[in-house]
Amino acid sequence: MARSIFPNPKPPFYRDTRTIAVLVQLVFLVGVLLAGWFLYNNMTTRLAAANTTTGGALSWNFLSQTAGFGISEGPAFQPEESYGRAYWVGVVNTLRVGLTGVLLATVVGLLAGVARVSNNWLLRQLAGVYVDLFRSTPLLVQLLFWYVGVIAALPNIQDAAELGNLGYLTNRGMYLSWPQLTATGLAWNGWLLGGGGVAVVVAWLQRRRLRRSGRLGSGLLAGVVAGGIVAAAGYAVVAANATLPTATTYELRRGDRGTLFEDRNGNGTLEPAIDQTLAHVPITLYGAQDEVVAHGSTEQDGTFRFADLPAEAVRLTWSTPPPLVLSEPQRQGFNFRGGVSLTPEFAALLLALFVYTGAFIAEIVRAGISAVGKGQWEASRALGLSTGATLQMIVLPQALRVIIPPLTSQYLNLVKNSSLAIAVGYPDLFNVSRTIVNQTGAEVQGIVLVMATYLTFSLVTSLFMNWYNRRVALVER
Amino acid sequence: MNKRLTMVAISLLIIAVVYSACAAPAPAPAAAPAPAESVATEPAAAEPAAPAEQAGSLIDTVKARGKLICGVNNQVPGFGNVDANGNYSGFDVDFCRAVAAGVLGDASAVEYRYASGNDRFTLVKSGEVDVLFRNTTWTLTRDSAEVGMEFMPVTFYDGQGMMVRKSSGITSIADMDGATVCVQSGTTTELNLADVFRAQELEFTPVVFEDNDKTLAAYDEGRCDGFTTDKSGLVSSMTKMADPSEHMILEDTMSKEPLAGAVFQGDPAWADAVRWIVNGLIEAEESGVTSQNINEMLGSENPTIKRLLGVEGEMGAKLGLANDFMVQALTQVGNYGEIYDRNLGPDTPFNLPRGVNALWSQGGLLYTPPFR
Ligand SMILES: N[C@@H](CCC(=O)N[C@@H](CS)C(=O)NCC(=O)O)C(=O)O
Repeated sequence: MARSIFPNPKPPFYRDTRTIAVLVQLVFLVGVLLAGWFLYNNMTTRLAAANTTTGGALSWNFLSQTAGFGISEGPAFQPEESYGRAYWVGVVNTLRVGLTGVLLATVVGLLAGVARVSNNWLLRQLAGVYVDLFRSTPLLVQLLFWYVGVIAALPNIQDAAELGNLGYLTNRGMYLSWPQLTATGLAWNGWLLGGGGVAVVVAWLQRRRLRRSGRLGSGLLAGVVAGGIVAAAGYAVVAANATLPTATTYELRRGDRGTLFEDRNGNGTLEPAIDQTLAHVPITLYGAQDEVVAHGSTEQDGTFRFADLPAEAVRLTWSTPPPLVLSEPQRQGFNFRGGVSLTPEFAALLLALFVYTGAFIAEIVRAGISAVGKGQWEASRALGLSTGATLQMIVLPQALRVIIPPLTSQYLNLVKNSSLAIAVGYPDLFNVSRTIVNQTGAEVQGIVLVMATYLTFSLVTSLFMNWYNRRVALVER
Repeated sequence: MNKRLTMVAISLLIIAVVYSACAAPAPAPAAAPAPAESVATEPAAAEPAAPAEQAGSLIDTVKARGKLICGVNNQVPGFGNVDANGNYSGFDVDFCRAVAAGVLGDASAVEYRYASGNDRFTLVKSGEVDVLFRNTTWTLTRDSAEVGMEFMPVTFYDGQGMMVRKSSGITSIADMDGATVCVQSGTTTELNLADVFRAQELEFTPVVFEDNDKTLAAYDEGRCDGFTTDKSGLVSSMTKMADPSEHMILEDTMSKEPLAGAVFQGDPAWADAVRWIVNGLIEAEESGVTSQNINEMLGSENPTIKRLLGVEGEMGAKLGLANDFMVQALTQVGNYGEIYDRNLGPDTPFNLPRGVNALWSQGGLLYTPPFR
């Protein structure tokens, strides 16, 4: 009889696994809360004893106080700006090195991972050595190696190595000629954006057309051509209409430096929040006798500055620049100005991060490729596809499903590892936060801020990667 | 699977509950063996009494511990340096030793902790160190409740300077427009640099490192046109450079840097004790008491010396110290002048003239309130 086999269909509540599960969770939660409370209490007691903040409460007012220190690179920052803004500069610097690092690590990892399963013996060995070498030495050691061993060994700025017409290489960084939009070129931004949109749409249409007619190809070329046409047409329009604003005026300081800007509120003084600085505008400086003391142009940030002028300048004139110029680095005083520069700190950190993470990604890619059944290769070959085409169209798309989850954690690692910046003096968010904490005594707030920021980065990365993972996942019916 | 996990968790929980219930009345540390043991066998070794301090003063904690924990530099020869054998020496280090002698009667009862520019105030505030002697400038913000330091008497009047290459053609800060300057983070140096250059409308790029060795190395390799820190630090750093003769220190003094010890702000008794040990070292120099002549001086008829050495009055007791606290500090470490000469004087590689750090009676700034 069924009844005798299950004498008690409903066990007492303390033996009900559902109740127990809830109970265990509750006990655990209480434990966590108690531990948290203990730590918090410990902190506030100490803070109150130190009388450092009003009654142990944490104040965030310091964020709006004047920082007073300079930051070597990143978005323009003046010492008279606030701690909050300084932290923001640190955040941007972390993103700069983090995003570039993720991109490069992916490329390097993909290439090395594919090379590891290549038929080419030499390539396979080289990739193997790369992976073994960089995966099994500590990141900090590698970072210092790049910074102290490689970059510091480059020539001094006095005898900078010339890179052809491209720029200069010194132990203070790499200075490169770079095309840059001028004050009249800003209108081109809209055209560029439009061109990008057109490129995407055309590429997509072309790809669909190819697929429908059973052909391969990505439609990339068609997209690039279409986008290029839009951009070129836009350039012609912008160049034909190039004028500087009528309210253009300047500030001249010390007779050799200043800023050229559009005085939007007409009060004659530069207010960064309101007025617009004018980049790469050709200027001529005149002295007291109306003699020309210097020719040159403003820089990316609208400032100009000349070293060793024959006389003090008292006024200047300007002319309209083309929308785009090639900004070239030039030695002025102690350093190069113009072009783009890559500082040793950024370069070392970026190198260390992407070379190190690339080695891990290579292994993930290799494992992903190995996970795709041999039959897929054989079938593809039987259909007459080349190795490259097989890899690109058959194997990698399937391998991606295995690759993405571990890849996500490599990305997260890279961003978090960027806090090693402190070892080479790159002003990332952690480095800047340490200075802020030291100057303001806001230890707890500083740590909370840093943790919240990294957490945000990690969550956003995970969200994005999860979304992508779902997209490439096998859709089963 | 889930069920199994739950069962394991429950069993563990039950075991824990049963164990702790059994152990509660008995002293046996059965409930949590690992932490209980480590607490029991290592009494206060690396454990600065944290919240308990509210009640008692560090002065009792230090005495109970039998050791002073002092935050110092470890890479600034002459001020705070550590040799290959782990021995600390320097001007600042000697003040740690004097405090240990005054409080504990033993100048060697000191545990040194490296206090980096950025971390030093956190170390003091969190109780990781009892006192900080690490070429630290006394400033309003640091003294205020915001950073929470209590400053001791100034032990070295300094000012910020700038080191440049002789070949650079720079002769003063005014020549440094557009220069790149290597500087250490978490210092007044970093702030003064910005102030001085801003005031003269000069542009500069700071390259900021965490410690002195890195900052100096970067400058030495040519990363920067200038290296700035306290002038004392520049003189000290020069001894570590590849070729010191290629460099020079500019005449400009960029700031006032009164270097002083510091303790936790919420502990007046401890602050007083440390403060008067430092004052005593200066008073001893003024009164002519040295480690050499202290035995004769114990018989001196001079009332100031009598009070200083605890022969008369209860000066030590008023501070919670033994009355002969200065005798201990002076015999084992020496007076201010002796400390200065030993670490920075003519017989050292630094050969720093006393300058403003002479006694007030000799035209300097050193002046201690009376020992009475
Ligand atoms: N007196 C200044 C600066 C003191 C300072 O940090 N000087 C440097 C350069 S001599 C130093 O001691 N560095 C030692 C280190 O932490 O590596 C301050 O209190 O902020």
